[in-house]
Amino acid sequence: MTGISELEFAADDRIKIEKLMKQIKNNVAQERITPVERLRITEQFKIPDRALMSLASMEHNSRAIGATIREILKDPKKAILADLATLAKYGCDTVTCYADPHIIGTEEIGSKIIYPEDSTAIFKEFLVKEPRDISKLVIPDPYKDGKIPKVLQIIKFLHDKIGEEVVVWQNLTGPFGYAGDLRGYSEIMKDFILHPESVHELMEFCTDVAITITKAVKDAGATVTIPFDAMAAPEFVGKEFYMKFIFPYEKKTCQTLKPLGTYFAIDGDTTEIIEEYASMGAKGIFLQPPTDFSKGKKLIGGKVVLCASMTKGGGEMASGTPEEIKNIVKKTIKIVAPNGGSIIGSGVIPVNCSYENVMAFVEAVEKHGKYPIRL
Amino acid sequence: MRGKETVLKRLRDDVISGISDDIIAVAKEGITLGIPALEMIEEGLREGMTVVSEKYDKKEYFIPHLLLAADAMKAALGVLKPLLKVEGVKTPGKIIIGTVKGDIHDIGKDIVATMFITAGYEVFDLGIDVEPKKFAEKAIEVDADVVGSSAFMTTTMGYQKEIERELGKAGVRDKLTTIIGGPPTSPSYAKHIGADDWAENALEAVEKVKELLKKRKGG
Repeated sequence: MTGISELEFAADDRIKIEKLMKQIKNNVAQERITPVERLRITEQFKIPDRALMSLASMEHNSRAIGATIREILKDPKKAILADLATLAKYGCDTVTCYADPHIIGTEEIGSKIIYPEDSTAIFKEFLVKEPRDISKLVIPDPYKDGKIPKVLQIIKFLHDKIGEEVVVWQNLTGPFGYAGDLRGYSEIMKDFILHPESVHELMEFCTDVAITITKAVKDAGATVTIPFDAMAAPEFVGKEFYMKFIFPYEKKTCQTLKPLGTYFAIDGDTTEIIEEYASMGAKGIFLQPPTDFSKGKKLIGGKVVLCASMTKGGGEMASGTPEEIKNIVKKTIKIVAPNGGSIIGSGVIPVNCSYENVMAFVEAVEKHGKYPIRL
Repeated sequence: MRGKETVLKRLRDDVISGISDDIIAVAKEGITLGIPALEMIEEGLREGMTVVSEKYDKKEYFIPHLLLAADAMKAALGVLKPLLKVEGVKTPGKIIIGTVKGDIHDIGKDIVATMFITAGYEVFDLGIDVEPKKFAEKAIEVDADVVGSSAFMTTTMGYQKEIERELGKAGVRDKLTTIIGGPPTSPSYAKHIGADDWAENALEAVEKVKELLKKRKGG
């Protein structure tokens, strides 16, 4: 791990961390194998003790220590405390590190980001206002620029503390995600028709950014890195535009990162492109409703790890009952978990999600995800 | 009248093809020819947008096409709307729409707004990052029939509940219909916060609002 300095915690925070570590290790010890072992078995397409769960707690982590979203985005020590406290609280298999992947890299390229006190960071304006702005963009240095070194510090710390047992999980941004954040999703979609050459130019740049950042995050110690492309699926842009403007760059990203075992996530219904998605070179891919999970399992199960998100994010976790959540988890497990090779995802946990709803997800995976699956 | 037919066809075609540059000139040509603005809007722009909606429904068109069509329509409306005479213009209803506070995602909202304009509604687009109170203030100002809000993130969806509260505080909640949308939202979330309905996409939003207004008017 190159050039990442150690974080120094104050005495009382060191005590808090040690206390949380005890709780985390106690949680891990309750089961026969560790989450990392469970992941490795899953990635070999063998049968683990139970399906791995991925809790996309992100900004919700702030609530575990009574912090605001801005605090955990700006202060790596608070982020670490929040991450560990969330992991200790829920006893899940994964720990999410930095809460907002959209601003890792975009801010360092030059986007102006507003950090509300207790809400998601937003782009004040889009950096690429016209196609000719693309040539001025520079790939950030993850070890020197802006807050990326702090993000790497968080990942390294968590890797060093718990990375042998718990899956250190970092969501990131894929090439189309960067393109949308720099140009604006409306504008880049119009560019497909009005300025196609500029789309290719921007996507080339964004692919290099995605690869650079993902490599650094992986090198810092993340167990799973998952670049994410919002608004990329054919349900939004159509298959023709997807194959022309997005797929080649996602594929290049995955192929370049293949030796590192990176995953990949496309937002939206990917049923129509499921085989192309699986062929890109990612170790695992993210499936989100309304994608046909059955078709996914049938066509590509056993070829890539299927990270099946039980919801699109929000939705039932925000307003459903624990019983409703358990039923959705059961349904998801029944389709994707048989014969291994799958991870059950929670979808983005709403920031103020109730403890009961999160635990409904965790407990449902622990109970119904045990092999052999009896659903 | 060949001139009129040509203008109406070009307005339709420019919306279908999403050509904003040409459509302003066409609209101005129509004005010069003495074609009523309402006729150009209904038989040119709306007809074009109806074709676009049908293509979207059949999955021949996708968001990029809708965005360009919406831009073309807005460009022409910018020229034609000021010429409309208020009397005699019938509309199925007045709709307030906006993306909630702290949220700058506008694609869904823009497409929904365009579909409502296509369907003949009078749409008041509040834009992005809109305070909950503003939805209520505008609803009172224009005597709105519907308030629609979009939230793209789990951190901002809570403001959709705030909008319901502000409408209640303003004393107008019972006089209008609310509908929500956005990726983290769901039918159960709509019920949870007291919204009248939820729509997954723009086409569904138009259909559901039509039904809700029908019910409200006792149809």
